[in-house]
Amino acid sequence: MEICMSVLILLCILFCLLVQQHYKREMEAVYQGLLLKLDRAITLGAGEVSYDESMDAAVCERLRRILEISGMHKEKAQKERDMVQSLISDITHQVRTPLTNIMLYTGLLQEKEKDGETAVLIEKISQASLRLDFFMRQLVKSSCAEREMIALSPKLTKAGEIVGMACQAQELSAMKKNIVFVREVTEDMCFADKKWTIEAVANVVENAVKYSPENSRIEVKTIPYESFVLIEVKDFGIGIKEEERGLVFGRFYRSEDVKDLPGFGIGLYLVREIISGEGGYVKIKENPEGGTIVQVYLSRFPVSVG
Amino acid sequence: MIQVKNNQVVREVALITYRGNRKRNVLSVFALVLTTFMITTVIALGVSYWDTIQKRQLRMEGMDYDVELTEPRENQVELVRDMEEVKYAGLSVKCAIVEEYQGKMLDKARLYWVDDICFEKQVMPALEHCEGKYPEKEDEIMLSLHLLKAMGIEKPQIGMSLPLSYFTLKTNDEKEYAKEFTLCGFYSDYTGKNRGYVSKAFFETTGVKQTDFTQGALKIKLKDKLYTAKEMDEMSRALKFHSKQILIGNPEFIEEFLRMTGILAGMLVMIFASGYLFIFNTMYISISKDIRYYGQLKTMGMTSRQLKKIVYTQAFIHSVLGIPAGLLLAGIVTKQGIPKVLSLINPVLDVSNGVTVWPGVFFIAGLFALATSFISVGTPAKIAGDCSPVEAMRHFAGGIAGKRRPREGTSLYSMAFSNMFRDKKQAVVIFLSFVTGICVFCMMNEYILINDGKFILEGTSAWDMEIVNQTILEEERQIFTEDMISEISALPGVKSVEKVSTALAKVPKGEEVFGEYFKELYGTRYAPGNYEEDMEKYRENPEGSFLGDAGFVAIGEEEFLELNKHVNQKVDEEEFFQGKAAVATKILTEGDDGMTGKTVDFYLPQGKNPKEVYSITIAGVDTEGSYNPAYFTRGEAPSIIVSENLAKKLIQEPYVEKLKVKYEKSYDKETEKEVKEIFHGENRVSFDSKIENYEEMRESESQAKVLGYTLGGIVGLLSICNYLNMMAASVLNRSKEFGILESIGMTTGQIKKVLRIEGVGYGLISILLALPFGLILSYLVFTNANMYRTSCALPWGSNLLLFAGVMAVCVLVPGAVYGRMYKSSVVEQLREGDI
Amino acid sequence: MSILKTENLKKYYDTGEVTVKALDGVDLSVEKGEFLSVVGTSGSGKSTLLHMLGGLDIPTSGRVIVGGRDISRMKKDELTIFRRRNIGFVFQNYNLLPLMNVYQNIVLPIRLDGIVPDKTYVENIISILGLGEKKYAMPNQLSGGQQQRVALARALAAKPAIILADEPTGNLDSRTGQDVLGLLKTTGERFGQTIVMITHNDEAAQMAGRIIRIEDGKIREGGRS
Repeated sequence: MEICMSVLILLCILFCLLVQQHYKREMEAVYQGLLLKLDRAITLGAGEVSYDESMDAAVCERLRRILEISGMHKEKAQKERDMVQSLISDITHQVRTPLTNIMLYTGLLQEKEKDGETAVLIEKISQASLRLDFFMRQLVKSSCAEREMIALSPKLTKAGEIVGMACQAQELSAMKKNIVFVREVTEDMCFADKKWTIEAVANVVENAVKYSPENSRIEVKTIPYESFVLIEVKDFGIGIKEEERGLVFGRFYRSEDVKDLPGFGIGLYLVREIISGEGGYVKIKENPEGGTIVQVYLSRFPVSVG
Repeated sequence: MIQVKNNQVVREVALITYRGNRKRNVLSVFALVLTTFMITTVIALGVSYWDTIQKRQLRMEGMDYDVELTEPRENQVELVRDMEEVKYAGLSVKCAIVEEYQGKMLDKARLYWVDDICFEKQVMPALEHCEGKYPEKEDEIMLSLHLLKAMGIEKPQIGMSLPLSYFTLKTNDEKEYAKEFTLCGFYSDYTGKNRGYVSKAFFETTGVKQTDFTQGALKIKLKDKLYTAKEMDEMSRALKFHSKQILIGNPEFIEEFLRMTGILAGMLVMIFASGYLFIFNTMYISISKDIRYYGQLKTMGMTSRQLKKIVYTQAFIHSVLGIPAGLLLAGIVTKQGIPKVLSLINPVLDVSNGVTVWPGVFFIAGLFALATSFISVGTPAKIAGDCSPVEAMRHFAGGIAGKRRPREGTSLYSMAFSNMFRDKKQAVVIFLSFVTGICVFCMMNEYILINDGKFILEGTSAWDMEIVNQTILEEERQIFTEDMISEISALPGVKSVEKVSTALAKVPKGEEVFGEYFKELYGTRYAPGNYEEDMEKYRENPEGSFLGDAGFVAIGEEEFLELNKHVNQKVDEEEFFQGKAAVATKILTEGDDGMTGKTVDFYLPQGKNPKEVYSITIAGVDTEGSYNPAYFTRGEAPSIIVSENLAKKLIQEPYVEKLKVKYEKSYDKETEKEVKEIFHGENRVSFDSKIENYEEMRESESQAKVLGYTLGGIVGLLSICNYLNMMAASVLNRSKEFGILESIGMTTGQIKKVLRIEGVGYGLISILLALPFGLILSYLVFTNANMYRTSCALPWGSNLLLFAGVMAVCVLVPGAVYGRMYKSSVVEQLREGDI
Repeated sequence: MSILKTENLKKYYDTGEVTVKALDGVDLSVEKGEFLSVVGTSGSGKSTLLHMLGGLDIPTSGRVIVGGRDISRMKKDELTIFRRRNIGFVFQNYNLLPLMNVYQNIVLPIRLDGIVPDKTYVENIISILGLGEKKYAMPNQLSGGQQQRVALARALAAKPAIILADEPTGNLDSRTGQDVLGLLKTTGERFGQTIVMITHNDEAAQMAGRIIRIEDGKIREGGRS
């Protein structure tokens, strides 16, 4: 009898322990799952939510809603900004058509009136409209950078190819100043969106041409690193002061030294946006022989954009 | 609250960390195996010892009791049974002795009657096997199998009839009776004695009473096994003894027990300490070496508790590996060795009948070892737990180097000195470890010394050979002739021969000199009779009374010198040999009984003038009766020891009782053979040879050596390993420093010299520290384990050897370690230190 | 919003005769997502500053506020747990655990927090840092640059809000150093982490959005580069 009782009590205790263990494990699993979801939410957003009667799902749903609300606020602000942007963009496009007409007709006028006072006036109109056109184009550029219209889709690309295309785009303006490109490329591959990266590198080269004296050279080369491929553009121009090197990537930044040259300070900003969007980065160094070295580092490894 | 679940990863890290320290782990496990082994052995020894004591009475007497009251009266029996400290008390009376069965003479076959309490509670538990029942009818008898065997009955049957002839133990009843008994039971016990039990009815017919001298006894079982002499005295007083009654017990047991427990506990502490120090040191070294690693773990988010857990997990793994191995080893060894060791500790204990080691011993020892393992990593674990994460940011290992004070000097000595105490904790550990080791060794040396046969014999017998004339008691024949003596002295190996002659002396008026002695003697149980009555008789007739007897012993020069060591007051040699002074010896009493300085008058019946009374002064007394030059004593009578010259003057030809021979070289077997050859064919002499005694002692000596050196060896091994380990770590930690030193022009030889000086320092300091403790402990060992009553001596030789050994290890290890570790170039050393 | 802030932070070391003022009243504020370089010569107190920011050392006076919480008031183990959830470290000497392989090293901080590592995320980091092939290598089989990339991956794996880098390129040649710095910068940007890096190398410092210079325990100049 006593043995029976004690065995029974023992069994009860054992059972209770088992139940307790079971629930403990269950709880742990729940917390574990919750932690994982929260972690995902921090980096990637709420993710899928299943709808069932589980508390887990309910918690997930609330989490999704919190993210949604904060997302909505962001979205709203974004929308408002977008509207202003698109207005500006619209206007600039609208303005460009008459501007083109003005330039066209000014050209025609220039051909008719080749001398005399009229010709001088026409020349002035032509120059003014050219400047207007430049500004308009800069405005478009900046607005598209602002609107995050840079939809990047990095693919495995040859760095050399990018260098080639970018130089080609600036060949004409270089020739005008009798500047030679010295190219030195390797066969290294990098992850980059071809179109935008060429645009970015071309921007760098354009700057180099712009701030280089006539009859000089510009060295463009690729250097492989373990994690990156470096595209280096070296000019022998006026150079950038040390304290300005970080600032030139800022939007609309223009150095005091180049006030009289045309430009909005949008080019390098755009370059940085594109490159860092691809998992790379841009660095400016001083050329010890005088001039500037701009280094564009492109990632060798795929970077998921999230 | 549910805790974040990271035990798993902490365990993993602990395992990975563990695997990364193979060498250290092997050392630690090894240390733990040894420690476990030692702890188990010592505990097993203690438990078996206790067990043996428990069963001692059981085995020796075939009865379970603690104290025995002789010749109890009925009222005393009641009194005892009512006592609070008494568990139970049974009555046992020896009433008859069986003489013969079917023509077979039997030896000491005693028949007892015991009461119910005694049989059921005291006899039964002591029996190995029992069949039948206790005798009830007058002719029923129960016999031990041993006795039955002696009677020639191999297979006893209950109910078989046994015709026996016996004597009763009734006083003055010398008649031999014959009776037909019926066997109603038989048994076997551990005593191996011829013994039997009879019924109460038979007991009554014999006429023996329980109060008859030496026959009846009340066997008392106490509630507490350990009792003091004081408790016994109190009991005696309460019982109001009549005439010769005594309470027989063994109150020294408690003392012996406590002493033994003390020794075992001391051993446990030593083992524990050396195990602790070793494991502590290994872990301490490894953790201070890896402090950056722990710092890294901490910067990565391991809490102090988790870090501690890592260290404890390592201790746990050590335990899992080390403890069972140690237990296994101990299991094998104890099974073989414990009975031997026990008999060594106390030769009186009978351990031949199976000492079983109780399995709980292993459990307790395992727990002890586990505790050692965990306690010893406590501090290292704390260090690991408390490590600053900033340590991880440090660019060099061994942050100690940076904290050091500027050196006082630049000599190699000051360099070595500052290095020794660079890490104080470690220095302390090393010293402690060495001190423990040295102390244990000192104790062992002492223990081995006092168990050394030659040493014992040196202290107890000055002679290489003693030859005794066995005829002295009966017919007194002169066997040792002058020719014989000169023949012996002529042997090339013999250094000297001395005679011990004896004669009977009569003391007519001895009361003044010996009265006190006799009085005390009569007070003891050994001399039955009434002192006053006997003394009265003696006064009336000094010739007839044995109180007027005394031994007259004559000895030579060397024997005198030896005897003089044992007397209460040194006797002047000149006076002794001029015949003016004598030495008195006596037995059984303590103190000098007022004999010293008194003058004794005596005459020698066998002398030249049998009636002439001589006087001599007793200048010294051998109070303990520990040294008696003569072999036979004349009963309780005292002996007067005088010089040979005096004896020759007084007696024509004194009987030579004993020849004492000293060899040129002790333990000279050739000479011994030649001496014995002289007495070839003479069977009236017996030999007492030092060589033979030594042979007998050899076994216990070698056992003592094995026990001592094993214990000392293990503790010593631990401390040496400890030292080695520490030196290796210290050299490794300083590798960059050595690189720098070498780069500024210090030669390898000089570096080794610095290390050696350090070693000398460690050795010297350890020895100096250990010396007082070692000596005190040695003395304790001496006083507690001195079974042969030799005079105190320290094993200087082996201790010096030990110190030399310690120094050698201290000096040789560092250089060797350095030599092994750095065969690389300076640049490599600099670089290695950099990592 | 500033994620990291110090208020009149002081750390004095007492070495007996002289008191060394490693930090002597530093007020600093780091914005979320910023990449800050702290430059200074050795002994200028820059390492001490970093230790304080990471809660590795206790300030003599002043406060260190991380994500709105004053860590100088936290208890030791509380601080440890806070650290493992919020701060990742990159050291000059990599400080990889030599007995664990690359993957084990990377996930250790996550697992210490009792979380089953998010495999995809960790794999992602591993591939971004180009360690895919070296996942099961032991640290001593890796080059310095690779080891530092593992350390970076480890710092990133627990998704800390802040990464503190102590001379991350100090043991690397300039080319590998540049590589690691690039990764530090790009991954930091990618995961929106705030980075504070101490260095004595001006070129390395140029990678940051802001550089402050520390001298004798005080901030001497600060500004955007």
